[in-house]
Amino acid sequence: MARRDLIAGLVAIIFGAWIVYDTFTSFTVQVSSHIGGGIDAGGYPRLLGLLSIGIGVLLVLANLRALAPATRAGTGEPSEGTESFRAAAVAFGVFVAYVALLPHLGYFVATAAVVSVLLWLTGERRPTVIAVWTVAIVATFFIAFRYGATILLPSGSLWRSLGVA
Amino acid sequence: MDLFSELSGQLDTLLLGPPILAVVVGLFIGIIVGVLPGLGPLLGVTLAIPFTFHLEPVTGVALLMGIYQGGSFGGAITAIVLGIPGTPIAAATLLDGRPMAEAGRASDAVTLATLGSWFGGIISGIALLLFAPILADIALEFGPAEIFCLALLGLTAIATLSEASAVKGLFAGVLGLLLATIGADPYTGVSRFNFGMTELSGGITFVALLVGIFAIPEVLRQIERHDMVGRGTIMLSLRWQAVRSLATRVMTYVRSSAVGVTVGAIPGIGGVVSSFIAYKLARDLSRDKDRFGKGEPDGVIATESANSATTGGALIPMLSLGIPGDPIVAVMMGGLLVHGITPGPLLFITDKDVVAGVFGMFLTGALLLLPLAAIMVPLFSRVLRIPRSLLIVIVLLLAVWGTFAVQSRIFDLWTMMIFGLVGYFMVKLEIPRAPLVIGFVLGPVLEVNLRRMSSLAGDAPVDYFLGRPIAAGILVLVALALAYPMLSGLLQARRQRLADAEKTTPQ
Repeated sequence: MARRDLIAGLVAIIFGAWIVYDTFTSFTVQVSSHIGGGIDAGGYPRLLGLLSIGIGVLLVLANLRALAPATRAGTGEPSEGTESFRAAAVAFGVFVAYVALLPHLGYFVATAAVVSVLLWLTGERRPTVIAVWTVAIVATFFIAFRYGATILLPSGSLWRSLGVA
Repeated sequence: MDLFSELSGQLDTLLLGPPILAVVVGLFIGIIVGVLPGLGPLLGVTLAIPFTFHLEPVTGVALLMGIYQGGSFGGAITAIVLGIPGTPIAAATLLDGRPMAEAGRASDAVTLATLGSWFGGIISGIALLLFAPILADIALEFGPAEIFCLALLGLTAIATLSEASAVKGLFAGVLGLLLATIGADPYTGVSRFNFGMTELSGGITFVALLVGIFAIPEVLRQIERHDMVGRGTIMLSLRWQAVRSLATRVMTYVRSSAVGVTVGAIPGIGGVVSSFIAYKLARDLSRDKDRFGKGEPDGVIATESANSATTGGALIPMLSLGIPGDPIVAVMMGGLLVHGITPGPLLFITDKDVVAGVFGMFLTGALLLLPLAAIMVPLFSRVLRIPRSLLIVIVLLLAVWGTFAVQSRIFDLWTMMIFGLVGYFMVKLEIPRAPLVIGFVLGPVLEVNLRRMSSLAGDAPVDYFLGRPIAAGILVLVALALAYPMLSGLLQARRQRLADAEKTTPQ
């Protein structure tokens, strides 16, 4: 708990510091103090950045104390299961690959691939079940979004360049 | 009275048109997402938001309210049948609902939970109809200082009262406020934090942020748990004999619903707290306190009436002041904003038809919960057997295509993925996510009114506040909301020290 709070505190400080820095360097248009009551375009985010730093400092100070006895005794917190984290990381990688490949492979191929991979990753090992669910899900979502919500789903640049779509 | 005549004038359209269909669909979806552990009404409402863009505002809100009402009830079924609250707000229902199920009275417990939710929903609908217009009338007199302070109160209350770590809640709130500054400055049009990307010039797409923060981490957590097997074989039905409790235990229904409405109307507290307060009240006022925790029907009625009544209560400050009472209502408020409807006192003047429609549909949803639950309760054992792997895939695809549907931009999918990662690490670091969303929704209100206030106050901000007692009073409440976690922490530490001292004292 203390370690997590310490990390959260450090994140808040770094993030806040970056915001404050950015408000000084990026907002090139200086605004008259008569507009927005003396708070210019960067003033409000700068204030929030400073708040973030303050919150981060509070978290770090509170948890430096809390960490000390555990470190001395050599009893850190039990680490999160790396196996479960790995499963989540692999799944997130699949999601990212899906979004990256969508414009190129189009809705049907990319979605069919991601559904099959996810079903397999989440423990389904029967090929027929995976195939049936994949077809059913891809078709249902296509009908719901293409005809229900009248959204044009990506057709895939790869197929267009090959003259297939 | 204008609002009532508006409502009666719209009854035909509401009850014979798409809004009622949307409420029924919403209740149906809501009950299912409430029943399935790990989903819940927040995720249900989040995933449904993109679908509302193609609907009329009242129909869209009717769908979201149906999910909210149904989801608040659905969690009770899982708590009773499986001993796992389907949603956090059903945690208190577990206390007596589960022992009833273990004693072979699961159907009785589910019937009482259904009746409690139904009754609480109706009472909160009436409260919404009566109190929201009054509050909006008062709020019409508010200037930038009062609006700024109210928004600040809403944010600090949710950040500090709703979760374990108040400081981390505040950080999430500040993060939400900062994310709301991406895009054009509301006063000057200067581009802020767009990193040279034109897609960010209009700010972050609300749905991409929302779905990323709530849906993607949920999918990842489900994968982490390796809990993919559907469960539940118990057969359920509503027991009409239990309906007599409406006469024999009427005070528990009324009292708990009143608790739910009151607690719901206070930003940041929500259904979990209201159901525990109602439960404690029911136990304290009971002649037979020992029966609580062992399958006492009053325990189930109290918790379900209260958490259901919280839904209408939470809508009161959102509609009349523009301050969401809980995260789900914040999401609904975002949905209204996307439709160009700004909740707040002016809504009661400019969009009276929308307000009347929302009130009408909330009450309709509350009334329809009972017949719909009667149809759906026997099917719950099947719902609980849906493979988790299938659910994960469906939630992911709803997240992706729901986000894409808003503007048909792949860019929004990347935004969603980035916030998915942010949300996942927020869960890991135990940083509450709800304040981030509320900060994002309230950000523009806070900034614009802060800068207006700064213009009006000039060089004498203290005099300005002293001349506005309501704003000063709300600021005191903000200070109390900030001080509360610190004071309660100190009290807890003192109690712990006293307990330790007692233990070490020789007998």
